Amino acid sequence: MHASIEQLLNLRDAAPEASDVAGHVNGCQRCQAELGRLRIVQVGLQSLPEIPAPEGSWEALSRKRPGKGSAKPMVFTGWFWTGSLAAALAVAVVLFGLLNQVPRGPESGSGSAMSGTTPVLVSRSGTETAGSAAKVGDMAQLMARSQQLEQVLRAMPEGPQVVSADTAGTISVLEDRVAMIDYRLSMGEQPELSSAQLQRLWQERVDVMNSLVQVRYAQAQRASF
Amino acid sequence: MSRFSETQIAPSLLARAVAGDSKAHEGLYRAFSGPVYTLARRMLGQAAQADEVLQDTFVEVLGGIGNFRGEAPVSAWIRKIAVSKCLMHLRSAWYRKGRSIEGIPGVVELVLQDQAGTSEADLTGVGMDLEQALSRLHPVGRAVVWLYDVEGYTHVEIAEMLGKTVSFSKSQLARSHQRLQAILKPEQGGLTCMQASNNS
Repeated sequence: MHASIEQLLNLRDAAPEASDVAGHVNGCQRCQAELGRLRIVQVGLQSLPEIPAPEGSWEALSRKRPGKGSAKPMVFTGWFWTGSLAAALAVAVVLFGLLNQVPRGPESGSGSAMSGTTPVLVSRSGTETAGSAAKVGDMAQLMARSQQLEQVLRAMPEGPQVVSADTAGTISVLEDRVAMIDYRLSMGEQPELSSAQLQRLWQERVDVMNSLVQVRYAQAQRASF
Repeated sequence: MSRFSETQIAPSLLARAVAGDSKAHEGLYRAFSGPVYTLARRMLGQAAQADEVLQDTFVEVLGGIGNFRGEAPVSAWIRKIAVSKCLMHLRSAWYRKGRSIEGIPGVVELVLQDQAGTSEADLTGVGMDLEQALSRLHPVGRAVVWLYDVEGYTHVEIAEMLGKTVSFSKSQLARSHQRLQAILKPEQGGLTCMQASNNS
């Protein structure tokens, strides 16, 4: 029987390995070839070129470090916590109010790609979710839901001055996705798109908008706290 | 070989950084930002997350450099912080959320475009570039491969960092190498020596 990959990795790294395994590998062309490939992959990984840090990253870091040069920890005052709490409450109240304004469709069990990530958008009645409520609704409901999510986004506070690259990238991807759907919907005035296709597009728009609201909500929370 | 161990800085620069000199802080950043960013890109796969790890790492490094006593090389200290930040990303709900977004049609294409800007390392003429093959591994497996094969951590150290057993680290490494071989040799239809022995 040939050597397992773990045994070959032990031999590659000069880790302890049973002598009969080492003996087999020495005399087996196939195992020798596999061992050679493992060595090549390791050397290949070690030889991958360095990826330079993005341009302007030092400047971004400098902006992120108030009082740069000092090692003093950040001090959170009572005003900081009061302000943070007020901001978070404001976001929650706005979202709650807006989500209650729009009629809901029948209940459905499925959620959007990101459902379940924020308390505001999930399971207020125990079984119904804001994103999935529109899933089985007709096109008018989907359009109303989409419009409602637009309102929610507009009502959200401006993003913080410093946004993590991760969050910014996610928001950008989702916004691009909405733009792509809008473009396809604008083509929907033409007769070649069936009503079923149009409904799917509106459903997709609602799902992506829902994800965008959740990311922005999470961002607002992170900015507050 | 780890980029960190290859990176040297003048003792005088380090001393000035410890003393709080902001120019020296920038020098430290210029010296180690590449290794940190490379580590994060290879472990996490995506530029956006690597950017965040880079920033978070240096916020901690420059915030704590005043207390650096030189008991270990500064490169090892910075690498430890960077690895810890990467592992935090792998464990975070935010990272998993980012991965779930990939379920939205069209997002995967955008993510792949983001990753396409990386270097091309052709490995002995095989069909798939090693860097791309690495990016197709499961995140935890990719992290183990990078930490073990490139950064030189032992299985004991990796297991400790991941909060798992040594066996877990070893099996992740073996499975990831098996997957790498399969990605790099798609033209080879039959079972390899190792696959045959593992299946038997």
